[in-house]
Amino acid sequence: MEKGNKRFRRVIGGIIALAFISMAFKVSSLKKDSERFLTDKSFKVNYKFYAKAKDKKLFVKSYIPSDNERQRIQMKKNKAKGMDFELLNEGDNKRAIWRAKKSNDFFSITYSFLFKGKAIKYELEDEISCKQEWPEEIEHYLISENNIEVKDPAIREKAFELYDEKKDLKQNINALFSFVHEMPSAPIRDLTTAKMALEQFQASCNGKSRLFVALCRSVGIPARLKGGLILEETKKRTSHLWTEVYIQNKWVPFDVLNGHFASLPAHYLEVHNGDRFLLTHTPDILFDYSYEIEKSTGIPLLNIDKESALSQSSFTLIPFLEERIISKEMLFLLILLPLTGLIIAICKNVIGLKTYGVFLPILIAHSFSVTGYFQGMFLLLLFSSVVALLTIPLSKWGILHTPKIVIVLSISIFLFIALIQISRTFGIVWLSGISFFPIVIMAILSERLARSVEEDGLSKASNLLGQTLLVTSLCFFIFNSVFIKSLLVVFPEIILLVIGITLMLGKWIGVRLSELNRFKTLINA
Amino acid sequence: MKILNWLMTGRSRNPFLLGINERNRQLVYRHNERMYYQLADDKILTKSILEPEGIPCAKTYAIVDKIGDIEKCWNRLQNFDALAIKPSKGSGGGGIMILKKKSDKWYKNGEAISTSEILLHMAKIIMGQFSLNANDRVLIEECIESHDFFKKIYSDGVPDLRVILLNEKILMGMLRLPTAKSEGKANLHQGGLGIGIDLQKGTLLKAYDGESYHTSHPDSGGSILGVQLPFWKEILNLSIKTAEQFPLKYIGVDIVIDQNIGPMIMEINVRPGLGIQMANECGLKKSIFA
Repeated sequence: MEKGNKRFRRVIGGIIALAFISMAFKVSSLKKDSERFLTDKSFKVNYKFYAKAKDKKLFVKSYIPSDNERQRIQMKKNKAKGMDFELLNEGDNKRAIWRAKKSNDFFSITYSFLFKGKAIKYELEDEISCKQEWPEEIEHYLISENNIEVKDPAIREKAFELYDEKKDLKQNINALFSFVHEMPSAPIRDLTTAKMALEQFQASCNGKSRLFVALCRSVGIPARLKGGLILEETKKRTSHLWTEVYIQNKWVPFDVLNGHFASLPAHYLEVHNGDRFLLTHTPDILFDYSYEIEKSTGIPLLNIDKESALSQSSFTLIPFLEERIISKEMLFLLILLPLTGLIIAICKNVIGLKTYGVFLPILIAHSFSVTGYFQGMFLLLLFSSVVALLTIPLSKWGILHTPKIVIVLSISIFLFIALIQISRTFGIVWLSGISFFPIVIMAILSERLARSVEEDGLSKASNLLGQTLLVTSLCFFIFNSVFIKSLLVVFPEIILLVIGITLMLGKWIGVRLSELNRFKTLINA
Repeated sequence: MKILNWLMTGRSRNPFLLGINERNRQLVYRHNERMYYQLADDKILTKSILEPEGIPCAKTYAIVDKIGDIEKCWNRLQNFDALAIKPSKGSGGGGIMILKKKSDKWYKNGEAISTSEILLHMAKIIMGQFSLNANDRVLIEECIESHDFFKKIYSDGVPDLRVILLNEKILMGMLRLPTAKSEGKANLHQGGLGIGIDLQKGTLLKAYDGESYHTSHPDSGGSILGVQLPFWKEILNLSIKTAEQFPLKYIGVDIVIDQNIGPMIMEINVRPGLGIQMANECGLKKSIFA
């Protein structure tokens, strides 16, 4: 006996260890691939554009975000009926273009994606020389642009008034930053150039950012504009501009409007690099837009990133789903069977619930996931009552068992057809779900129920039915949980764990919960 | 904490209480091989083992295994005036029909019953209605006449004794008495009374009806607590001798006391129920480890 137990423990230990090792291996490779990126904030962003043009084929162009060191863009989706969609790479930027297939029509465009971002903060070192060296392509970020007038005398004068050659880079940037940041803000929607901002001595994000970039460039510090959205749970129309300054081979963010010095909060969505308009469209058309932003909880396990990382590994069932080797429903049923089986074993052996058949609750729960829980439950209770009510007179007449079951089933089928007809005639939508109910399962249950009504009486039979439905509900919960399904698809090793736990359950000789109640007086004596 | 402790050890506060999981794994699976179950589950087989050893059991009048033979057989039984019709593989007393004849008419529980109803019942037995759908045989045997001793406590039905043995050692005993609620049946879960027995003396303990304990019969008021059972020595010897005949080592032996013959074996059970612990107000493990 002892020897047997030792071997048993070794087998269980082995199975569970194997499952955990395999999962740990997978998780670690996952980490390497994509989980270096720990997100602080997650938002679902919807670009919504509405446009109508007379006599011309309209277009809408918008920059769309890409991944960078502080943001991940996932689950990109484009919905625009009657429009061609094109993606263009413009240097560092990605631009989406929608073109109407015909003129004189109303178009609605929704482009949505999931944003995951983290905050970033640079600790700038003191005593960095203002004389930095940089690769040639950085030179480009020192020259004047249309709205960033680096060579303008007023800007140069202001820049050198603030700049002190003897001080280090951090102090100098701080001087420029503070000047622009402390300048009065104004909610100006129109484009404000660097020069205009300085002259008016007030500006919004776009004027202030251009001025800061112009001042930096004037004193020989490479700087550039960044554009995007500040994400909050809202519908908004304003985009945002901020800046980046080249410091020690890195682009360091500065938001002069909101006072983020060498840092950026997690909810800043970067869409484009440089001085661009986020959104443009055919002139002279009816156009409206908004950015709808929702906080996203997201399922941490099944995001596109991880899925793609995992599908490389042969241990997951993701390829099964992708290549449609097996239907999704079939795969889910297969991988959920062991787990639901374990639930039933626990219900029976630990709790002490009694059910009609061991696997019948699983089959019923699975059919509920097709019909819908409440429809399935309604149908099942209705049928059960019919079966019970028919069984009583039929047994009184002394009808033999098999003919009796056939009669009960035939009348149930009549009822079934009647219900479908009722739902069709009166357009009762929720009732139509029952037509998906597998009648085979109904037949098995009605046989068991009829026998039980006959042998144990109505009250005991309905009690047993109640317990069966309780276990069924538990199984349904599992069948319906996207999380558990995803978990099993990514970690099919869990089935090994289930086997391990079930083996242990097979050796559990404890007093059942129901017995604690049954032998209450004996226990408390 | 309490829940965790229960899950880890599986123990209740009464260390001697035997649960169904432990009964199955430690007693039934370990001591009874499945291939021998049929010796207990099939009453005809059980009797074929007991009768050659001279162990008293109800006399067999007829065995019917084909539906076509039912009528012929029934006609041959007309010179008896009391019969018990049983499914050979029935369990829990299901499908048992007790028939008595008065002035050429058959009565069941005092109500007249037609021949066709009796024949239909036998057909149901053969078709397996009372034996988990397996085909079965009809066992027709002599009707036990309950001993006068029991009539003092309660006059209806046939009381029986259940003795549980492990390796031919008696663990626990219980007297099962019918009540008005149980309609003549003595099984605990059909509303009968379970009465614990002091194994040393053969005296009755309190009666348990599934909810509470009584010292006398709740319907008749006949006294129970402390009453001495007749034939106690014989009952003990008979159960041990019965257990010795079977390769099954954890069994419940059901014994009736006939007015004329005395103690007789009715059937044996490979998965004797746990309610006997309530009747004796004592866990089975106490006597296993004693």
